[in-house]
Amino acid sequence: MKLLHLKIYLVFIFLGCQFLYSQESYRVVYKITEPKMQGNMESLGEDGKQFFKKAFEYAKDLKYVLTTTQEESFFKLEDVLEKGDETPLEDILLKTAKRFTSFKNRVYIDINKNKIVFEKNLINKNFIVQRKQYIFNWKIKNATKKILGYNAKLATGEYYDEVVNKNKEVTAWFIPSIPIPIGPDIFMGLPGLIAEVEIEGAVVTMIEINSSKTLEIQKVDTSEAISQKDFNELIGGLNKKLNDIIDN
Amino acid sequence: MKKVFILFVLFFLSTFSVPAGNHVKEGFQDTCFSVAREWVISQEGGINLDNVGHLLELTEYLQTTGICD
Repeated sequence: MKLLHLKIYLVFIFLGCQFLYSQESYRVVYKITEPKMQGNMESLGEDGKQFFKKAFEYAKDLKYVLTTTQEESFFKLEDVLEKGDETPLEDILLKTAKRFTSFKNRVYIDINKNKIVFEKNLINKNFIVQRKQYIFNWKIKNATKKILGYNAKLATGEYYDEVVNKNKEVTAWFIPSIPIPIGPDIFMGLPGLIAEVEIEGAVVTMIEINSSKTLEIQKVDTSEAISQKDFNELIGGLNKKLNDIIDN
Repeated sequence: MKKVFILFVLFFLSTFSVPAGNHVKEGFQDTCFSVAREWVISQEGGINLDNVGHLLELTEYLQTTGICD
């Protein structure tokens, strides 16, 4: 009888821990640890090389913040920049630095409802888009490494970037011991928090993580959001026009 | 409203036609545009819808620096 009571007691403790864990929210800070030039920098003149040397420094100062629970998440560039007042040079360096990741301005994800809402800048106009979550067809590999003391596993994936109309590859390191299927920008769907992603223009790595029970998850206002279908039509038309211009 | 904006963007895109070194858009001096385009291609591997806005911003900035005409 005592053994039965002990078992019931342990089950309640286990369920209690699960409940508490499921309420956990995290604030995760990422930074660009490796900006990458996708073209040939050797062809640039000295001015260009100096410009990108500075842009690299700016890129490495950029920080992105993810707040997430098991149910939803919000991702954006950190508000505070430490470059002082923005001169025209600082402004264009900052814009160039952001191009290494080409992340969306803001991303809200409702994990269980298969919904993602993001703000994307196209030709200097911000669009808010509400659509289904991206599909990455992740393949989990055997490789592991430590990130901030956590054991992270390697995964590779591929997704369709509708803006540039092509499939892109992504490499991610995720932390199985933090079972939240979220990461920076649109990247998600792995059995653990994504601690690092490598995309075409940069490696972005988690540099700080804090857990809390009181974090508020911001949302992206959907009152002016356009649907995935409308967004695809918009960028389809613009891409066709742009390709016509480039081809001619 | 959205259609009006799309038409505006299409008009905007259609106002700069073409290849390297040629005149591109009234008000944009071609050499600065060429320099900006070379920089964007070095960084991102090509010009696409995602970076064409940055290309124009970079062109405008370069025009203020005196490193191109």
